[in-house]
Amino acid sequence: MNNKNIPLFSFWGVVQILLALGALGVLAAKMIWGLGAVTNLSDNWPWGLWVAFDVGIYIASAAGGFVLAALVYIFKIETFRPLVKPAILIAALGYTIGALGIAVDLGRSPLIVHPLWMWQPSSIMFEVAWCVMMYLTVLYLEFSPNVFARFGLHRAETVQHALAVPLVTFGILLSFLHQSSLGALFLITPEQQPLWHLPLMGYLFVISAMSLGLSVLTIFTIVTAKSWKLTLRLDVLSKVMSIAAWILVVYLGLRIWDTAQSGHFSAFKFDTYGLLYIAEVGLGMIVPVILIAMKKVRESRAGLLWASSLIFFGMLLNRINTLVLSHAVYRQGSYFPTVWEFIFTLGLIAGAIYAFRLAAKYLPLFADNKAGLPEAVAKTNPVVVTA
Amino acid sequence: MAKGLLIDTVKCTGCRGCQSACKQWNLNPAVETKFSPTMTNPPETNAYTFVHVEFYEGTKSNGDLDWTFVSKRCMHCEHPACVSVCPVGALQKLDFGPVVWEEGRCIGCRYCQNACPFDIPKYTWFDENGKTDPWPKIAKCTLCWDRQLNKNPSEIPACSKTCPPKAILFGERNDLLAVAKNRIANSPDKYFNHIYGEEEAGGTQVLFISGQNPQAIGFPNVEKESYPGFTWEFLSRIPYEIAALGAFLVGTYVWRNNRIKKKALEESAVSNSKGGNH
Repeated sequence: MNNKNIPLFSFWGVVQILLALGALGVLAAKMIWGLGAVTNLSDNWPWGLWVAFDVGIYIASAAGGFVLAALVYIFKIETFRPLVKPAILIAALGYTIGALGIAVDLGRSPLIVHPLWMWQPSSIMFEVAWCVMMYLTVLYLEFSPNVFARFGLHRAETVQHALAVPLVTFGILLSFLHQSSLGALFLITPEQQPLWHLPLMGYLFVISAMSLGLSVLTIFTIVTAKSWKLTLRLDVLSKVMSIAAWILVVYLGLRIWDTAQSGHFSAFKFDTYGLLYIAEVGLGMIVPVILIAMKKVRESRAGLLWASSLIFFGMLLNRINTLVLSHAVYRQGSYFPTVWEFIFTLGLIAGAIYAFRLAAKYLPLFADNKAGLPEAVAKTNPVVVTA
Repeated sequence: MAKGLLIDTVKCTGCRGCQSACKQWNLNPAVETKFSPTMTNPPETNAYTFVHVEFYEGTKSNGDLDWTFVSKRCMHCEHPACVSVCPVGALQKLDFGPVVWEEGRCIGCRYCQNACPFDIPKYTWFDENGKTDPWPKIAKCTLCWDRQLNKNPSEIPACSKTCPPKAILFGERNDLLAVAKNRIANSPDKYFNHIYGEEEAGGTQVLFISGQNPQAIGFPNVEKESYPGFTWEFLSRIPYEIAALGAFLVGTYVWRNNRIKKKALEESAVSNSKGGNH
């Protein structure tokens, strides 16, 4: 199997390889010289850009995997079947780079396995560690049929098929557990800027991750279809983004209610935090919901790309605000990431995108998506749009 | 009962004896430092200075300079946030008071640094020569647990032992609280009526009394509840939530499966009856 549409060494492919190599270099430097050498972290800013991305962005972006799996395997809505495989692959890659990023961000990276036998169940971090390890395994198992199909391992495929629904159910439970726990990590820092410290922040994290995950899936699907000239199921994506918008509405409602009833709106001023809040909630959450509510936007490729990108921007800002910036109020000194921190962060993303490219080329990832069809075939089937 | 320290800034002369004694006992190396805008040096505790004296400038009623010296260190909370958040149990609260760190467990996640309301756990980002440390440690005051346990006869913490004006008392927390209350009651003109640490973060092993409002001498205004409760409230609900979600998922799956099967049956029944007409 080899999808001829997908080039390995296109311009962006080479850029991705170079960035990933850069990340490997930073990884090596961190292992040899330590965090003090490659980051601007300090006692006042123990967590920075890496945590914001590993914990906040990569893992939350992967939430599309469990949402799609739930829609197709539990709710049995066949409409979404074409997107399940890419969604699970994006999830597996997101968790892989998330786990890798967390490992490198630890002061003593090789000891990341300690939580396996050093138990401390009152720690949210302990729970996150276990869930992420288990869910990573579940994701690889969920994705395994693509590899089995590639190499003709039909018996393994049958076994996996029989286990699919229990696996998906277990995966959804794990996702809920640790996606919410990532928000609850900060319940213990009440000194944080109150706009981002809410009693329900655990639940808010998992709900927003679902919306973010669907947006990332949409962005991936649209961009890869365009650049690799694959056919695009725009009708499915419209439905995906409608769901994302509804989830976002629930999220916003809960968040605003929670902020109001805990009295934290009184902390709103037109200062830096106020502007960050407006950018995050207004531009990154309310505007995309309005966009998706419009039929014309929802049914056009550019409109969907805009809406999903805005949601991505809003959630990115939300995670950075919650995990890093909102802690500035009680900390001395300042923190700005080093160039190495940026290279490592971008390199992980680029590496994941390149791995997606390899999988799309050599595995039956788009088999249900009628990808790579000639235009004539696509024309007879009006729901398939040529890129 | 757990032991602790009572630090009386009214008695403190700012000699920094506690700072030096602490460095000596813990074999902490000298590192290059600088003065804060006042005479505090180093400006805050760090991985090689577990105890340090902060200098606060004020003015007396006659216009003279009035110093307040505050000997700061880990508060050794009765319910420490750092211990509750550590995923591998590297930080522990010993039953006789001290909060200590175990090197063999720590993975270096630094969640304790985030969680501590008093900003105490420090990290060896750099070694004493300023070189970056590839295998960093969490470093903090241990309430000289090793002097209390391993020394025979056991000794009181180094900072307390060395203090010339006896501004740092070591003893049972209850006794120290009684002393503190007594001093405030006997000289209300000298003391601000607040024992910092009595209720802060659910109570701490280290207590401060002073002539100043705690916020004026650099103490954070922390919550009165114990910090581990904030996350435990969330964690303790998880089993029920997972059970409910699991039941919902299984229920939905079974219901949808039945519906789809029923539909398929009905459809095949319709086509069968059609077939019979022929």
